[in-house]
Amino acid sequence: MSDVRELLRRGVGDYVPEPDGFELVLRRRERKQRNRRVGAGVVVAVIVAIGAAIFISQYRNDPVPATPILRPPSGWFVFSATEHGPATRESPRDLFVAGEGIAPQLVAGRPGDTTDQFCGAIAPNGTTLAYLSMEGGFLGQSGGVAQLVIAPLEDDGSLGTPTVRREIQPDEINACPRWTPDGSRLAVIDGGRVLIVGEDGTATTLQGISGATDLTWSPDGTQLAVRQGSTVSIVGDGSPHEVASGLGGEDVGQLAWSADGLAIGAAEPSKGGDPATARAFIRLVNPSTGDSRDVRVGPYGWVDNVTWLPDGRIVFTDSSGSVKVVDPRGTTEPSVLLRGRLLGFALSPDGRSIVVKELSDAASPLGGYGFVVVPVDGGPSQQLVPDSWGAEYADFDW
Amino acid sequence: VNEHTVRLGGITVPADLEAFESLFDAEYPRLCQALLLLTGDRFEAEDVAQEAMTRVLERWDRVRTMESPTGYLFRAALNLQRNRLRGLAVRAKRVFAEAPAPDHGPSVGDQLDVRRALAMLPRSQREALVLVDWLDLDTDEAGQVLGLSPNAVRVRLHRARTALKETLGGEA
Repeated sequence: MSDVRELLRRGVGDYVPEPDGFELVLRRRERKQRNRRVGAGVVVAVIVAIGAAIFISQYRNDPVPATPILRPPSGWFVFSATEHGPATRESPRDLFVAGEGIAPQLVAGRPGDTTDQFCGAIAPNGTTLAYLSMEGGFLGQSGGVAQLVIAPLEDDGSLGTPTVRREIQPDEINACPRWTPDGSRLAVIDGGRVLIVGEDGTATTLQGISGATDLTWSPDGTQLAVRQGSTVSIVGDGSPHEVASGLGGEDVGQLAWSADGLAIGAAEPSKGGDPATARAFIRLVNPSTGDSRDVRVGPYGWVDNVTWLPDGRIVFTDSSGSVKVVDPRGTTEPSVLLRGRLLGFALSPDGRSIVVKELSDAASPLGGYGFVVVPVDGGPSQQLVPDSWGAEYADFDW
Repeated sequence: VNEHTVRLGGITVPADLEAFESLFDAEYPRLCQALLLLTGDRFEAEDVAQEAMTRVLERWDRVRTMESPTGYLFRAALNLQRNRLRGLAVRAKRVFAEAPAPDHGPSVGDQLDVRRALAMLPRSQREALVLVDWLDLDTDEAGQVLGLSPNAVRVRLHRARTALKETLGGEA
């Protein structure tokens, strides 16, 4: 170990940070406090304006009826977060839903409890929510026991009585439940094995699969692609068969499967490869024939969050921190949809927008993390969740 | 009544923040160095370290009672770094940066070789390596920061050390 430490010491060289760090930290805090006061002033002004409007409306001949908040046309968006600051073991995450024009609402957990609520997954019908809940645990830690919970998601954004509660052992942060396209079942990783759970709670474990770290359903919901380390296998009625290997160790990105094929984001293998010329790639696999080809899309590093659009293009993130779009049928370079300030995204049910978790600008009144809706084909973005949330981890769904 | 001390730059420091100041003095330099190893960019490293320290300061009443305020700080810094904010302020600082100071330590070539080798590691391995081999956390502590089991940290650590040595031609 000491030789590795010596290597790291050489990497650091004689670097020492600038001596004004403490003063800069205090200034940052003062600036944030000042901005919060400004933000609070704006909120008070808005509340006063709304109150005045309500007061005036009482004397109008055509009073505006109260409108109940119902499921937004674009569907609910679910995310796990703490209300302020990073999640910790003492203050783990809660689960919230939000919608376009609808503020976040708490649906599972409560501030101050010690149960981590994470991995929300909304069924395609938009009316059922699955998530994981870990008492005293944190981030789906290996070896911990979590509850897989399935519950109806009501029109007002509240959760109904759970229909399924089942113990599982989540292994990876990104191994969240995945619904079949028809929403009749979901797959979830349980101690490295793949568990298929029906809406009624019936569960079966896939045979021949262990060490699973990610998965995705085929478009017809009859097969699963499962990542095991740097390999990907497909499992249906028969035994699993491997369709991809040597994908770059732990930095294999999320899988996506559509009528256009199975897409796998991948990194260059950590051994070998010149950072000056090597590029991360998306491997496209024909699940029927096993044929594959690589679309080199990224800088040196990794590609993740690979997601098919309905028109056959692919949206992804790469190690530059950008969201990009590529048409794998063409020869053009990927275009940048959003640059360098995010960790992940989720596609809207209609495939026309993505919701992106962004780190807010330093000048933001509240500071922190928020979610922004970005049209895939351009157009103004819209703040979906205010940027005051401690949503440090990219587990969210739309 | 709060007593205040005054530091450089005319910034007042409430006396009850002395404990935070102690944490800052103890952890800020090596946090910046750790972030330099993770990002390869000293401006980004300091920007992330300052933001992480600011978040700790904003929640100091809660953080100071935690079992490990340092662990909270490292987690906040890693989360920020993972988001890889390369904001305008960082870029501007880089553009207007002065020339680097004369290097009296290892050669610049050595630094770049090591940083390039680190950059070639998967992020999860790089984080485990820096937390354990630079910040001296044990695998239990690193696991708490990374949200991993100690065993998962050890696996990543082993792979990182092996890959680093192979990349650098067995120099280590």
